[in-house]
Amino acid sequence: MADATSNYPNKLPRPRGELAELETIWAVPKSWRIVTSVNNTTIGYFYVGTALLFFLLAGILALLMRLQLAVPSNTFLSQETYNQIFTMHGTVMMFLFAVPVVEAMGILLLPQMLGARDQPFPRLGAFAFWAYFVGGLIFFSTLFFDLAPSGGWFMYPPLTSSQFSPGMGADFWLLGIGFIEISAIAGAIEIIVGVLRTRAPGMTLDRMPMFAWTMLIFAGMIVFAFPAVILATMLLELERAFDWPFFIAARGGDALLWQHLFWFFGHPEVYIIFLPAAGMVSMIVPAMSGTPLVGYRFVVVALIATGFFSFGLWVHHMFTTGIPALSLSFFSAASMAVALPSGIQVFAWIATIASGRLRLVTPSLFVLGFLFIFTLGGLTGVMVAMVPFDWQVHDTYFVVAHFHYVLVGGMVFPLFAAFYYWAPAFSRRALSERLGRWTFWLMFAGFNIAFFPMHISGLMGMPRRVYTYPAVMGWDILNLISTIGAVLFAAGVGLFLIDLIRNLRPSVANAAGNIWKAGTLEWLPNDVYGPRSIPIVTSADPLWDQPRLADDVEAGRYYLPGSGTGRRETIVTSPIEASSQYLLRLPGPGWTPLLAAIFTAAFFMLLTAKAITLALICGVLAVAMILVWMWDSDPAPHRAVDIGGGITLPTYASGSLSHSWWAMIVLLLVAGSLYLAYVFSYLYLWTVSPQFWPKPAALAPAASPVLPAFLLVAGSAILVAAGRGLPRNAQGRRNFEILTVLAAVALVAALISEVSAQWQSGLRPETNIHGALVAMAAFLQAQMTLAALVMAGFAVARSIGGRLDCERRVVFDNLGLLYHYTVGQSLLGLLLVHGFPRLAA
Amino acid sequence: MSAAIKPVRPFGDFLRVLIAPAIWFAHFSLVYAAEALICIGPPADQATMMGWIAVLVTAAALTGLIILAARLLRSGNTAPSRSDRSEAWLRRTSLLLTLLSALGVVWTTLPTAVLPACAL
Amino acid sequence: MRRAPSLGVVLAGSVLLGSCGSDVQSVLAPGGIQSRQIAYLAWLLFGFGAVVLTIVIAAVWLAIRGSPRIRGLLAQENAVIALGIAFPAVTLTLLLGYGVWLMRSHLDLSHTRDAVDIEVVGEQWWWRVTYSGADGTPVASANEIRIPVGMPVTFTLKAADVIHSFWVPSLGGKVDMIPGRTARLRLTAERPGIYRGQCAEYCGGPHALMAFEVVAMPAADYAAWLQRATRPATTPASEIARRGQSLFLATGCGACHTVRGTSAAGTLGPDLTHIGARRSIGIDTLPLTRENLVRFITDGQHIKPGNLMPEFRVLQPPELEALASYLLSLKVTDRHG
Repeated sequence: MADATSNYPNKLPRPRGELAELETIWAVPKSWRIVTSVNNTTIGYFYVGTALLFFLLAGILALLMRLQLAVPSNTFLSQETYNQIFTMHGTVMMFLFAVPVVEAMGILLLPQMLGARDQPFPRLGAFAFWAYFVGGLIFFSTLFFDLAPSGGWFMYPPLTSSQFSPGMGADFWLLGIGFIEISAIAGAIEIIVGVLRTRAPGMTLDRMPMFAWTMLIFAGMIVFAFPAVILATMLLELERAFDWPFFIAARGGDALLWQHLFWFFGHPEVYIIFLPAAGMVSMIVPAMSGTPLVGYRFVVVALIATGFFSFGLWVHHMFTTGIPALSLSFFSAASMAVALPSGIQVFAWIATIASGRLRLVTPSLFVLGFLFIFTLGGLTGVMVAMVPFDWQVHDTYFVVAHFHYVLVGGMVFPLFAAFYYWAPAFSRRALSERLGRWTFWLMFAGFNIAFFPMHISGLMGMPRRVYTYPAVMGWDILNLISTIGAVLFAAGVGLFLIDLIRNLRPSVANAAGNIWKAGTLEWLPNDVYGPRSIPIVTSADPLWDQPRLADDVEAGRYYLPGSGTGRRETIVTSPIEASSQYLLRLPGPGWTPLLAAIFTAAFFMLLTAKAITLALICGVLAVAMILVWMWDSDPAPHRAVDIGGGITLPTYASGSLSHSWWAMIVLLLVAGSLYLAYVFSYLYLWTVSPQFWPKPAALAPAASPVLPAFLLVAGSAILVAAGRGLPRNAQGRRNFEILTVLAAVALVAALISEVSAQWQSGLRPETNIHGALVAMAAFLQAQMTLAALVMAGFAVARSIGGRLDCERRVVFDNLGLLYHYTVGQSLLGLLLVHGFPRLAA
Repeated sequence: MSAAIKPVRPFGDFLRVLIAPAIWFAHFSLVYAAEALICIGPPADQATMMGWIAVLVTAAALTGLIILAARLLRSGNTAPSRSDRSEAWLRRTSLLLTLLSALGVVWTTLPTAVLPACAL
Repeated sequence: MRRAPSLGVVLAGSVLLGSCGSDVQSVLAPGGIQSRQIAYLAWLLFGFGAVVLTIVIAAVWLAIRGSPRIRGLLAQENAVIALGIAFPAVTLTLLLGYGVWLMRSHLDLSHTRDAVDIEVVGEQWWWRVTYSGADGTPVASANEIRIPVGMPVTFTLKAADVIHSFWVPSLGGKVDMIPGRTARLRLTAERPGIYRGQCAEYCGGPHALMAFEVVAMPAADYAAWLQRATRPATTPASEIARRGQSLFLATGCGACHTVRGTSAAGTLGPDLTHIGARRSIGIDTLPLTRENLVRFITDGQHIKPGNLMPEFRVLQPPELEALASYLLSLKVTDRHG
């Protein structure tokens, strides 16, 4: 610490023009061109704002439902409208508000908090936002055309099959949500690489702000949880469109498969939403108490444990489906286990409050409200984890009350605390303390008045998702109270909006600043480029432990006080100890992320409307836009840059050092999880209806997989050879290009040979579940093959354009990862569809 | 200011922290899958088979966790580089996770002692 | 047989439930063995929850306002270990053990022999009920289930179209009815009465209106009732009812409905053989009266929007009158046996 303060990396005064250059490079596009901005603060504002918009819209839907239920036998909403509204309320709150708002807060806060200048993939972040914005708005507007889905937010087949939901609503859900999940995964990749690789030098894992920890776990959970529901939506959409009977019992499918896949995503989802909110609390409580978090390591352990235990809970939602009692009790045990980490966190916050002096300002009030509501929600969670009790309250208003206590208490209250807490870092004025108190008390009282009585109405037998109830049931008084509470809660949110209008003046450069005297880096003087210079971090609360840090950072005494290459850039550091490794040059504003997002959204929505040609055109255009933006990424190596303190950083990295390699690994983890979910589905359905698996004699010949397997392995070998021969200069390009094309051809040939062998054996996907599953393996293989094909073509094009050689090779490295993964997945698929039926027979 | 010169600690060191909860997950998946597979088989001997599998898998998981904990404790005593903060921090984090995972394993196993296999 | 819950529990319960009247569908007003066990568990859990919530609130209060000594104690990592790990580990182990034991005792209940077997099929949006008559012949009914008191009843649960969930809170927990699967549920009523049940898994359209009643009657009455219910419908006695019967057959009602003993043998809709003895029509809150029968035939989409029976608006008032007379006459059993 002594050397950090006495011996700065850079000397003062800084050269004239250095700051002006930094400002020019990072300038936000003016007026309407702001939509081309990719900087994390601009995108962060848009992202948070859009998520709030969906919170309000879904909230209005909730109010409509509460009005309908205020009195018995009400006719305010029709049955069909009510069914659409509760479906949309749940879907929008979960997929268009809860997950996106957390990602939005991550994109807005993380770079500043970690001392980075921006996210590692600014255009990917912009794409994720715009895809969500466009797709979300189109999805919501289906409500106005009576095209909204009405199958409930978890869309159980067979109710959502083409037989029982023939309209387009279910397709909008399946394609729209599938697509928003892709946006969530893009965000998760951004966050994982950002947190692990772009922290300020010296910010070791044990000094990382707790919010960054939670976002890391959050993103990691998305990587393993979301693929399950993406697979589920693919299966159901294929069933609806092409009659592949995944969920149709008569042909060997099983409705429960959907529930397994959906809740394998759906339960971790609750923690995906809760963990970042807990992270916000772990930031706010120490700041407001003026003391470091007590039990930092315990909290990290709690987060990691939650990340794991929450994957052992999914059947928790299926206790009434007739699964053997012993299986249920495993999940009951895991539900108990996941309560432990929450206990650890709650008492760590209490300990922190006790070790300091809590200032009772608005953010603290929201945190205290959160502690009360979330604890109660957690306790009812322990209750529903008791299997026999759940047999009674499952699918009743007791459960409605429970998950609103967990989600609103566990997520919305911390989020509002975060709005009040971080507003001064992103606005010229802080939000009003007086309005804030009113907002809190209205929301707190309104929430409890609305939701506490629901525990009782549930115990009195009121099932969820009923559009009306008869007066004789005696649920009317409780429901009226709930409606009054909902109106109070809405009034609180309305007051918050007034506060925003009156006081929120977005600005990073002239923000109100560190009015809470907090200790973490986002409270440094910041601009769109983040801090003027990148500090050396020596503790978990650097601003407390280095009192002069803010001034020194602002003066430019620390690393990289200007631009080393004349472009946007940030320092890439090592994942555990955050020692600086290289300088990452970042892209600036551009139209491609926005256009790619619009075309992607158009592709999915037109597909829903069965406008196939138009959809395909948009799909091609979307890929084209992404390729255009990729063309300029991976710039040629630049000379090394002196960032100060005697450290000279290279400006190019390939292999496992590259941030891009990390992103590809995360993407492949997503693909791998998706495939594992498929393998689970295959084996699961076999346990349900083994009689549909053909005798070995009726299968494709045992020798038929030999050719595709050979092609796959050969393709891998050819690509390795191509990598060896990466050209040093323009002359050696031809061989590399030929080999890469050959490898791509091998992949396609393998797919064709496998599909034709199955077809010739008489296998048809719509016949029965076995046929559908084999076809699905080919479908997933085709998906990866297509991706590898596009990427191989891109690599060849870059080679022809002189943008790929033995040094500037990131594109090829990533192609290699994708290609070899595709080969591995395809080989596993061959083993499964050809080997398993013979084994089982 | 030696940040760039020091050898970089590989990310695998962090991934090792996840071994204990991964053991819990493996144990959980195995007993769940075992129950599912046993229940589609012939009804005879379901209970004994489930019992044996539960005992074996649990013993394996707990042994794994105990070995893990022992190694962590030993390396804590003998580690020459007391000054290596990251090393110590990761080790203590692992230890606590090992404890929680062990509790998770025991809780998962508890019902197999009380409930018969495959009964609805 | 029924033990009274402790005074405190009763007091807490009455405060919670207040004056909110009806308990025909309440988890906390058990009328069967299974529901009583779960109600005890519920009260135990509420007590546990109240204690823990109090501890947390007290800890927060002390952390903010407590004396320096208490705050010093709370601020230690040891406090996190004791309150956040050790305490939950012990209490949750106990709870888990109790929950598993309770499941075990539910399973044991299922093993008792000589139970009454009733098959219930969930359909959009009604309940097809099939009893097994004295000589094993199936006896079909709908939306109303009669069971004997004090005898275990095994419900065989299936779904015809989408997922439904069979739930009678006063008698026990719910079980989902999933297409392609057969579930079983064992319930034992401890006192006679009328218990309401409702579909608990959202099944589209008028899911909210998919309710039914369970009539628990003394075992002897039940046996006598089942005996009578096994018989086919009698030929109507009155002139108007006979006209109704020929209208019923001529209008095509028999394409969907069965009246045993006539040519009407449709199986799409509810069996009407003894409809005159049921308590309600279409939905459980619509009492079976002449007027309501007519309304359901002509205006069913208002009573139960989306239900699969077309509205027969072509029928003239005298025809409807005849039809209603016929249907009301279809009761070889009278309600009280």
